[in-house]
Amino acid sequence: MQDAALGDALDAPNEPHLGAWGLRLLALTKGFAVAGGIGFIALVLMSLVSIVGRKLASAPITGDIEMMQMAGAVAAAAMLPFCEMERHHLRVDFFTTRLSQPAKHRLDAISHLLLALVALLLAWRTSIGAASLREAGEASMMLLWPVWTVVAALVPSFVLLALAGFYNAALYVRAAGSAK
Amino acid sequence: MSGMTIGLMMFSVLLLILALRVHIGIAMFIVGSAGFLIMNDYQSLPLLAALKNVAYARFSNYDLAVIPLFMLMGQFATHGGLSSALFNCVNSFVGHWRGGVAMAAVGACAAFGAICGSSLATAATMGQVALPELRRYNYAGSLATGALAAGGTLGIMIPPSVPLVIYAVLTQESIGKLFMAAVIPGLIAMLGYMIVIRIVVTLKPDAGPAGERVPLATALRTLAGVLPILLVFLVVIVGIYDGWANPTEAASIGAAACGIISIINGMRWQGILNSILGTAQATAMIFLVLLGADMLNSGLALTQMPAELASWVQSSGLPPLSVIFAILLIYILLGCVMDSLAMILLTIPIFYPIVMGLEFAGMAPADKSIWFGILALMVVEIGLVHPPVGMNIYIINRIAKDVPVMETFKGVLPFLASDLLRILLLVFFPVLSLYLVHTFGN
Repeated sequence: MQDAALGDALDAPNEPHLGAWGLRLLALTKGFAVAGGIGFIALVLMSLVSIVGRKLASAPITGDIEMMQMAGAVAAAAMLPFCEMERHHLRVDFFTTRLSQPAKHRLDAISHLLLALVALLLAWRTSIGAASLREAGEASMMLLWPVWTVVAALVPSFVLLALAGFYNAALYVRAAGSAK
Repeated sequence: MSGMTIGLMMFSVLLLILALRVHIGIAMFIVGSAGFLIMNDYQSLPLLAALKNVAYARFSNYDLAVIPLFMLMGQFATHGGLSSALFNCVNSFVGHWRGGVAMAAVGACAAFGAICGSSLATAATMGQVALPELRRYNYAGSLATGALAAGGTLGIMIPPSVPLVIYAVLTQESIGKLFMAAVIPGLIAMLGYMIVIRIVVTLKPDAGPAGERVPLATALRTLAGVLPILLVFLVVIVGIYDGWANPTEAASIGAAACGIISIINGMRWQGILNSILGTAQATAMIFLVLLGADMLNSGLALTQMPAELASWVQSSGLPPLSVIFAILLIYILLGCVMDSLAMILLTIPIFYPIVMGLEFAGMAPADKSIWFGILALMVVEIGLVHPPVGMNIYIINRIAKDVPVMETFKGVLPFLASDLLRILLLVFFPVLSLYLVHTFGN
């Protein structure tokens, strides 16, 4: 219960370990997360330049708010799959702590599958959304960036999130079967 | 079926699938989408159309960008060893009092909370620094771990505070005003914990022996070392409140400043990488729940349940104070099973209209909204230190392996009592939350 409460599934002795593909997925999701983090650090620097420019020369970076919104959205989405591979996404453990290990694994398989399906749905609808924005030729207000490219940049993250979810679901199905 | 019935059904299904271990964000998303579908007479087109934009619309919210930035700031502070500088500084001033080392731990938690918006990070980093010192001076295990678990909650009580950012986004409230409002209640929390330590060591002098006295010159030198941290806090809070930087810009300044201080302090690539991964994890956790909450709220809004519930409570003639206490009680119960952010996201769309519809001794709506935000923050944070979830307790216990979990739970009880007292104080004296907002209001 101690570890479950912390959400540190990877440290917990009762949780299934990642296989070879899992480790590859983990590395890939980590790459996405680091890219997202570097994106935010770049946004921090951009903000600083903009603030200093605005205070000293009344010349902020054009479209600084837009950049933060658009790049921030892409960077934040890129962080989602890593959290799923580490099984850190929030959930309620309280009511199931007394269940047997296989029963818990079965529930976990379902929950990761649901997460994967939702991620897949989002990937599909977001790409449709990007396509219609592209047709409409919508551009951002200040920078005149084509908005569809930014929206489309969310899709790989949701696809990876879905893959991570499917992988975890399969892992828990197997763990539930082998624990019997 | 009326909207009210559907809304209530949505909540029942949500609680059921949450109990079955479905991720909180995903559960909210599924239930919200289902409600959306039902309210559109089972037509799938409106739902499919809404889903096209939900992810981008939510993630590109400018105010929400402060969350990863504050996370980055806190992670830099964590991996840059700022916690030990803070602890040594407070300790060199109060360590020679009876119970002083524990008070120093609480004080350092408060100072760390001023640059970190997360309780878990505060508890974890301060635990690593302060626990060895507390053991060196033979502090009782329960007092040491209890003080740190409770002290960790200062991480979110003292601004910057992620739950307040989310409250602000949900209710269109000003982040700057909420942060300002949280300062005095946060300091009261810190003083409350110190008083608890004082009482504990008066009753049981062995529990917290006095540490060594540090010469004033040395103490002042440690103070100079932490001044930059204080400066970062002031720049962030005053900057936001004064309006010369918006919250996202202030968070950028804070993150950059903490990064620079940490690098000067010796943080290298590994530390930066760990900060990024920590930020990614915390951000992803929050953003998945935010995404789900967005769908849940779209579904709920269509049922009109929140508005109906609010007008029902308003016309029911229930005394406003008992409504507030009922809400606070629900938070304490929910805190037994759920994370604080998820609680805020789940309940504020329902509770906020109810509270705003009630009359509290002629309080202005703008004041009421800030006052309730601070109350909600204080009460959801309690869930971090009481069983069975009590994440802070487990974090501290992982560091203090020789102290049994039950000891920590016992050690935290007196601190919980001070939490409850403080909440009563804040309910009956809204001025504690509103004073700074009014004084510096423009």
